[in-house]
Amino acid sequence: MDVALEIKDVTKVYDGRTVVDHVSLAVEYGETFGLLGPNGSGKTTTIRMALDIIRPESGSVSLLGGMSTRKALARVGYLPEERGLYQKSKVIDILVYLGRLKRMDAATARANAREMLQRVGLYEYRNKKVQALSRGMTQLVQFSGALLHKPDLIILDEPFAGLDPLNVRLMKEILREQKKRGAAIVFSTHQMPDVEELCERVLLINDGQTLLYGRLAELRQARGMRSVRVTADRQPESMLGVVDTKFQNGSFEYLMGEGTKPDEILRAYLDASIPVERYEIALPSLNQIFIEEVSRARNVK
Amino acid sequence: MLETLNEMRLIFAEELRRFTRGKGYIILTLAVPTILLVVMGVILTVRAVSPDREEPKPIGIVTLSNDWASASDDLQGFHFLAFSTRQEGINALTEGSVKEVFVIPEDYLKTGRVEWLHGKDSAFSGLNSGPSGASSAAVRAYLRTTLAIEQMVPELLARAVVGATFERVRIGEDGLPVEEDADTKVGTIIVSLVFTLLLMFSIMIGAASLGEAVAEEKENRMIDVLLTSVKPLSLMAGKVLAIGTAQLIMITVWVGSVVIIVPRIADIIPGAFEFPINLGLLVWVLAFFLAGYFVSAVIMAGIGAAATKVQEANQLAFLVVFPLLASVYVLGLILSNPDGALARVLSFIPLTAPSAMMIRLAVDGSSRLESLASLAVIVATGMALLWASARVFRASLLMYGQRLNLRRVIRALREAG
Repeated sequence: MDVALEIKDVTKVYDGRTVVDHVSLAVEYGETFGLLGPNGSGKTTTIRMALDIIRPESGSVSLLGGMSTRKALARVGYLPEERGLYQKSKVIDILVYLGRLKRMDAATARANAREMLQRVGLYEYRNKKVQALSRGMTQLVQFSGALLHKPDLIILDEPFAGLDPLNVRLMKEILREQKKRGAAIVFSTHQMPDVEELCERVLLINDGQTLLYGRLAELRQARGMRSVRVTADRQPESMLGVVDTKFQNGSFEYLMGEGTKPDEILRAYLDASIPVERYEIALPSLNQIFIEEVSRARNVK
Repeated sequence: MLETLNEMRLIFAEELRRFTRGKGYIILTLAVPTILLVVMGVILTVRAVSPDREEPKPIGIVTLSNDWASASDDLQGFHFLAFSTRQEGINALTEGSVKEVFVIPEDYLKTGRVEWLHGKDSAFSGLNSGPSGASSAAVRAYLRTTLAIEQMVPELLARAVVGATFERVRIGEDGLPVEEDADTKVGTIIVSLVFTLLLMFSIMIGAASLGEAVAEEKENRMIDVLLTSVKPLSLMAGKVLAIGTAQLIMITVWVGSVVIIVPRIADIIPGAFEFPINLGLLVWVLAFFLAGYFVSAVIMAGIGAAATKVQEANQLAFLVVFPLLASVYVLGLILSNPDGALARVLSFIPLTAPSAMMIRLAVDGSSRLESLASLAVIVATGMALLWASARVFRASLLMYGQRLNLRRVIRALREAG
């Protein structure tokens, strides 16, 4: 598959401090990619380098198959983390302006702006000034501005922050439509359930360094053998090889120590003659992986 | 190149649209014509309700000596109406066909006394027991003329009585009269001073809001979205040109309303005068005004680009306003010695040059070559600063969240692309 965005080994240094350290990633057309990391980990800096807003000290960025940056940027949609629109301008005027900046003619920009406003349910607000809109509405307007020109690559920095669940659902629906259209989507977030719902592949960075990179399912699979979930009335008095036990939603969840195998947990139940309703090897949630990986990286330092 | 121009055009159109639709801008732009129209309306209203709105009434003259000839009916702006008897004069006064009547008795040559007949006292008549100064002067002129009319040609006599007016002619270095009269000179100086003040005003309002707008876009990150579509140079140039154009529209409305409305006011105010203006100099003044605005706006945009917050941009605006004020402070010195060293030095410092040159041009203190050189310095500085502002802008983004100090700015100018 063709690659829409390729970042190779980029490094960014501010005042002697390395904020992005040899990070690489590639995003294909028709793929949704999650850029994960705690606050200040270098996600936004990586995005800004991808968009040529800032330049890396080393490494390279290739947009839309190596097209010249200015030309390629006209086919990129971007929603920054900190939202800002001209407060005293009308919604439709701002969208037409953003469309024009992406090389659209005025009539097409206006038609697409109307279409997008209808899609996000803000058509009747088209002639209102931005200052009259709520924060969530302003965010949807800016989201519309990022997609107005039907970009091939969509980069969203914390797109769901501050939105109510209905608008989050709406935004996700629109992103799925964009993906179906063949656009590559990259978004950064702290909300792991959103990533699990939308993304095929992820990059987890911390302090500018890559911790995990790859297919989400494979990453979870690789760590999944360490937890077992058992649904039963009670648990055996002693469980060898278990480092942590949790009781959640009527099930016991065991985190196994090094060398312990999942069937040893089941054997312990059988040996204790405790009836087992349900037994499964639990894949860790992305949230667990995130916490574990970031904590481990911080402990190492 | 074409792409950059297209980007600039888009930014220019949007910024101009947004700036000129602001309430503050519209109010300021319409302030001058509105004030002038209100002034004209007040004057017209006052004149409409004033009892003295008719043409000035003539002065009645009753000459009781048969030996006297009649002088001209019009003298010193007054119209005289002659009556043969005192009663005729009184009748005309009571009918209101004359303002007042002066009766010249038979023994006037011996006594020199003239009887002044007048009607209702005005509010201020108690302060002065005689006729008004203008009427007195006119009647005295009438009497002098009448006394001598038999011996002299009436036109010569009228001139002798009224006297001469003086017209100034300045001789240039080539020994020929300079084609400019005193009124033109005064008019040009006034125009230059007005443009100097307008420049200050434009910079304080327009250029300052430009710096603020750039800083605001950086603060709310709209700039990130813009920079994924246009180059920093296109963004800067588009903004500077748009807000400059908006200022020019404002000034055109002001100057236009003055040119159209003030003569109308002058028509209805007795004694109002006109200021003829040297058009050639006006073009120079306008050129320096535009160049001055350009260089100041670019610096303001650069300040906005370097600042991390709107407040910081506003605080740094004094860097532009201060030199401008300095050249206004030394205005007196430039006027008294327009060819002096101070005037010349100020004419080549980009921020003081526009106002210094506008004043020097008005008082003939600068040659054409010097004016061109000064203009070139201002424009070249503006262009260089525009380039530098775009780089500082890029640099401030590179160092997002950090304050730009001089060392970083210099480094950024060297490195940022």
